[in-house]
Amino acid sequence: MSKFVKSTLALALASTLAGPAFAHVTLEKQEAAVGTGYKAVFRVPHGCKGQATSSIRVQIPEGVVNAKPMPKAGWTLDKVKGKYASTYKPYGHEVSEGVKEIEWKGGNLPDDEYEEFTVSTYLDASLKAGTTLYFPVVQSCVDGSVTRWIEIPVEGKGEPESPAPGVKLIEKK
Amino acid sequence: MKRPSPNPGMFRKVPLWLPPSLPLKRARRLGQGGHLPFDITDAACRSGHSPSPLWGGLGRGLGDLRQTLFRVLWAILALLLLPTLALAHAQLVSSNPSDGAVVASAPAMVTLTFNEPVSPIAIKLARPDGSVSLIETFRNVGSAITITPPPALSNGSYALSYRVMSEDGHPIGGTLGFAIGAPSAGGAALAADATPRASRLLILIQRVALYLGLFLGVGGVFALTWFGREARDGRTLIRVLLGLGLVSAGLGVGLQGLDMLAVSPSALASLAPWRRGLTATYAATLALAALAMLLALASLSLRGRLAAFVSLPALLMTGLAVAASGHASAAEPQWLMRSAVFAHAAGVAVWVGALFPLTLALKRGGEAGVAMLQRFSRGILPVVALLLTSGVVLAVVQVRKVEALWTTDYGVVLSIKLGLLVALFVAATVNRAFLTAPAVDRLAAIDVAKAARPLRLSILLEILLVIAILTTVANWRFTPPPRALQLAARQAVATGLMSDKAMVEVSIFPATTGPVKVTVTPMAHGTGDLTIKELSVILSNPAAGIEPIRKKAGIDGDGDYVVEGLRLPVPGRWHIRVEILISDFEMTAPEGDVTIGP
Repeated sequence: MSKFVKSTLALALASTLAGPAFAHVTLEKQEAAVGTGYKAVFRVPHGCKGQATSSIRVQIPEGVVNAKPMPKAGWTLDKVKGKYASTYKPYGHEVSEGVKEIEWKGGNLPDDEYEEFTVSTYLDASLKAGTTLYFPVVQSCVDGSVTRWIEIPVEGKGEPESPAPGVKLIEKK
Repeated sequence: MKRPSPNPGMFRKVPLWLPPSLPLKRARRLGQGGHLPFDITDAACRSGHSPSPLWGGLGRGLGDLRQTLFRVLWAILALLLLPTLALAHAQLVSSNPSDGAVVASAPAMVTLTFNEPVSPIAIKLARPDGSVSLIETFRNVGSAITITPPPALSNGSYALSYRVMSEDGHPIGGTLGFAIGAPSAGGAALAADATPRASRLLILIQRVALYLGLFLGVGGVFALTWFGREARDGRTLIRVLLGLGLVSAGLGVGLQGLDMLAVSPSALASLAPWRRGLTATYAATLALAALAMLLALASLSLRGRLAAFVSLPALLMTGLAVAASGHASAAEPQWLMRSAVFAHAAGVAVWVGALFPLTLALKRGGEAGVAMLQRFSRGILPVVALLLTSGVVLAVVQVRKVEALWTTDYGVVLSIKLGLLVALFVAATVNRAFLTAPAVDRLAAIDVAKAARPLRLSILLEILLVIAILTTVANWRFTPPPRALQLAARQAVATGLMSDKAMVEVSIFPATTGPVKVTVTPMAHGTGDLTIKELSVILSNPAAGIEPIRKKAGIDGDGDYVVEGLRLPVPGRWHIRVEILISDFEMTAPEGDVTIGP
């Protein structure tokens, strides 16, 4: 029983210390217009349970084209390119393939330091305004542990434990 | 109870050298006013020279009596050993569709499976539009009930409420929710058929009244005839208690019927609850109890040896009555449990029944009181030992796990009872160690009523504690014992969960606290296949403040995902979430609730 009490207390304490919004990987700009360029800045406030972050992998969702990651000193960039599900026309000319996945790896970001990872993108006009576009992120740490920021919130169910960073889409002005 | 107060001077004049029987007789005649003079015909009764206090009252001609008594005992033993079908308080083990399931089309059949044979009392269905109808198309085979739902059920959420009778004589109810096509908002809310509060309260009062009649009434008669020999103190009160018990035994039939039908007390005016009540095993308890109390009443109007002869079967019948139904009597091993209940109930009657007559005898004082006190003191130790032994056996079988003492309602009732019991034992020990001997000494030194005052107060306290204990244990009527909850849970609890991309069948075994094994069988839901990169099971109990317990599943030989060694600390409703990682960036998480026993 005392073990149970202890673990419950520990859990309760842990959940108070790690305020949800603070610890999540999020996008700096939470709102963007479709049919425009969007600089996606991923904010990484923490490692995985105290461990230093060694890799950040971002999946570029369908409809987000011309993704170009910003290099970062001390990190190696990996880009996975492939065909899009359909053809898009950013700035007037057709594109049907591009970067679909980006990984900054080989870095060492201690748990008590903060870092941002940037990707320049274009939000195609075919994306639906009023919805939220999610960029799933997989955070890996030096000890091999992984935190997946990939949960898509469901309406009426509250915030998931590890939500994917999202940007709210609005009409182009 | 009106009685001329005893005249202390009267006793002071009794010379000490007289044999105890003589002043005893005189004192009673003089002290009892309106009562008929007590005619003692058997010398053995008066002399107190019999080898044992229990057999003493029978005096001569013992051979015949003993033989008869042994026959009675054998008959009782045979009755206790009879194999019965009763197992436990019934629990729903599984259902098809399972609770919370979403089925593609209207089910042709709804099956409820229990852990023991049950007989359905009422089954109701609430539709998405909120309308509730009684279903009468069901078949009941052993522990399963197969229900044919009404035809042409539309899409939406349904709630099926069932009320069944379990073998231990207690009705249970529950609700099963399922949806056809997709869950609908609102509607289909149906609380499990619960017995109205007023009915439950009446049942509780009836139980307490029956206990008073049996333990204080029958036990009181037994004490008068065996410890008190020809004592008559408290006969009026005992008659009142026996009358109360008899009324309660009669009303008990109808009240049991109220509980079975889940209706309010006003239904007692109709025949239905009475007829229903007669079918319950509790009716046997009530019949035996009534018989015991009638025998006790008969014993009260008899004298000497004959009264003692009649009060013994009354006592044994009390034990039988309590052993004839209830949670404990329904438990395995039956021979042990029924014997333990029998011994416990009879022991309680001997002990607590003696308290009232004893305190009255002491109040009146004289050698009668002393003799009774001494016989009680001598005879009670083995009885208390028997009480304790049978009590421990019952508690161990019923509760199983120590945690259940505070995590289940049954356990809480037992804990309260044990607390009161400790107080009672303290009072009894104080009696025995510090008060009995001085009272006897001083009474012998003819200091009569005043000397026994602390002892009398202490016995009064004991009586109050006994009533508190009886009221407490009457609550067991409404709490299934942890044993039964566990019995149901020893079988796995299974449930189907669904998300947009996956459908999983989850089973938790055993469905009790402690280490469990969770088996997950995932299937694709919607379009396309389901690829599984990784599968984790997360269990939480927000109501109990238990944060999510997360475990990654391995794959067993059958291709099922398995988590072992996960520890569930508390019983109750647990939230289960199955996180299926489809790719590095995609997951789906079906979730739902399961009920875990203690």
